[in-house]
Amino acid sequence: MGKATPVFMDSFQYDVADVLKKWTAVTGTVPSAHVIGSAYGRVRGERGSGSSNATGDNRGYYRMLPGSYQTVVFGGWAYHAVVTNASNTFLFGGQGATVGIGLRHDTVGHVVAYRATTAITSGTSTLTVAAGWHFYEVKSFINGSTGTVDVYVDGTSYISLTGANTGTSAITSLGFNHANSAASYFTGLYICDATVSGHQDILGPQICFPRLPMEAGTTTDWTGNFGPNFANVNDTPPDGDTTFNQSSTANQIDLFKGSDLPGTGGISGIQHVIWARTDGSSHTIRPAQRIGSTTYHAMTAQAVTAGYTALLFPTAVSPVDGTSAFTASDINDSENGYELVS
Amino acid sequence: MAQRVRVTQSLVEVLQDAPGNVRITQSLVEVLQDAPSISPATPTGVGVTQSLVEVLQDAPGSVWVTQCLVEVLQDAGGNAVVTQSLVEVLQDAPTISPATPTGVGVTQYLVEVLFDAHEIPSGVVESHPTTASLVLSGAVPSVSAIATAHPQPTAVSLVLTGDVPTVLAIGSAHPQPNYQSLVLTAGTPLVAVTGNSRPRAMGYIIG
Repeated sequence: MGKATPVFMDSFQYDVADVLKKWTAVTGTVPSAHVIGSAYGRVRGERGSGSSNATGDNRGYYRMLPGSYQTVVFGGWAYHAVVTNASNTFLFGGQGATVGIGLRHDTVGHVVAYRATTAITSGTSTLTVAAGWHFYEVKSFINGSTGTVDVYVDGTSYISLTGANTGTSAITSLGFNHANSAASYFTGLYICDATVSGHQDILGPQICFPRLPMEAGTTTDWTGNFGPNFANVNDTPPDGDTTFNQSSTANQIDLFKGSDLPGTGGISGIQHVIWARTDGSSHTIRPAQRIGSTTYHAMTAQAVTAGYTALLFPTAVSPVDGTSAFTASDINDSENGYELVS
Repeated sequence: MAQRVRVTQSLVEVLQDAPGNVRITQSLVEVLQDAPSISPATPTGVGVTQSLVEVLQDAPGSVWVTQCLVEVLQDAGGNAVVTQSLVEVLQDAPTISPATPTGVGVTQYLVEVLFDAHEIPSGVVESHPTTASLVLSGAVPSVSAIATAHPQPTAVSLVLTGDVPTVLAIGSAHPQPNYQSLVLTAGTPLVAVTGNSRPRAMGYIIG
C-alpha cells in the first residue's frame, strides 16, 4: 500500500487578510453543499505567516476539489488555545453534496468525529488533547451504513470506527472553521484521494513547505515588467500588476531555483501554484519542472482567466518516471516554473 | 546679527541609463556654519554635522534606500534641538513598464511541498504579529534587536525616550515592508540606522 494522493494542499504562505486566496468564505446562510461537519462559519482571516488564525466572526472557508472522492484522507496542523470551552468547537473536514465529515473538540478536550451536525461518538477515545499545536488526520470511507472513520492525532490512532453512517455523497470540498473566542490557527491543510487501490494510506504528520523562486533557472523566456523574472513572482502576498512576467508566445518557459526543504522526510506530494491572469485573450498554462538535465512540462494545462487566480497543479509522482514519489533531493535540486502552452 | 551659513559641499551624482531612467548614485550635502559666526562653539542641544542619503536606482528605474545615516551630537545638558528628521522612500512606480500584462501575466509562482515531519512546522506559533514595536523610556543601556516571530513583518517601529548610548538597527526580512520607523525623543549620542533594502516607506524621527 502506498500513501493516498494529495489533490489539494495549502501552506497558507500569503499575507494578512488574504486567506481567501485559495478559499471561499461563507457568511450568514451557508450553502448546504459546503456545511462542514457541524457548525459552520466563525473564521477570522487574521493569522501569521504559514498559519491561519480562525477565531470569530461568523465565517468559514471551503475549497472545491478537482473531483469527488468516496474515500478521502485529510489532515493538517491546528492550534487551539482552549480545548475545553463549551463554545470551543473547531472543524475541518471534507464535504459532499449534503453531508460532511469533520472534527470537533468537546467540552473536556476530546476529539469527536461529526457527520454534519451529528456526533459519531462510537469509537471515540476518552483521551484529552491538550491546548496547543496538534496534527489531526482523518481517513473516511463515505457510506450510509458501512462507512469508516479513522482519526489520528499527532500520528497516533485516536478513533477507529467501522459500520458507520458517514453520509451518502462523495467528498467534493475541503473546509475549516472555528467557533471559539480563543485563538485558533490552521496550517498545512491537505486532502487526498484515497480511492485508488495501492494508494490509500494516511500520510502521517506532514509539513506543507512553500518553495518560492530565489534565483533564475536555466530558462528565462518570459518578459518581466520590473526586476529579474524570479523577483517578479516571489512576492508574498502576490502583488498583482505591480510586478509580473508576461508572455503571449506559446512554449515560452520560465524556470527558477528555490530554497532547500527544511528536512529530508519523504515527499507525499507537491503542488505548483501559478497566480496568473490574461489580458482578456484566451491562453493556457502549465508547470515546468527541471530535474537533472531534463525539463518536464507534460501536466495538463489549465485555462488562465482575466483576473488573477491561483492555478493549482498537485501531483504525487515525479515526472522522471511518472510513478515514483519525489525525493527531497529531487525537490532541492529542481528548477520549477511555468510554460505558456497556448 | 544673523548667522551666516556656508555650504561647503553640495554634490549630486546622476547617471542616466539608455532608456532615459535616472540613477542617483549619491546625493550629499554638507553644511557648516560660517566660522566667524559660529556661536556657540559647541552645539546647544543637538547639532547635525552630516546628513547623508545615498540612493541607488536600478535599471528599470525602481528606487530604494541603500543607506540612511544620521549622526547626532548631544550637548552636555542632553538637550534636544533637532525636532524631526524624516525620510520616506517609495518605489518609483512610473518606471515599471508595462503596467498591465500582455497575453498572460504571472505575478506569483511557488511550489508547495507536502513532506513527512513529526514536529510542529518551524516558526508556526500561536501568534505571528505582522508588526513589531517597542517603546522604551528612561536610561536604556543597550538595544540590540527588535523582532517579531513573523518571518516577514510588514512594519517595525522602535520608540526610545531615554538615553541610548549604542548603535541601533531596525529592519524586516520582508522584501518590502510597508513601514519601519525609529523615534528618538531624548539625548542620543550616536545612532546609526540600517533598514530594509526596499521598504515602501520608512521614517527616522529624532526629537
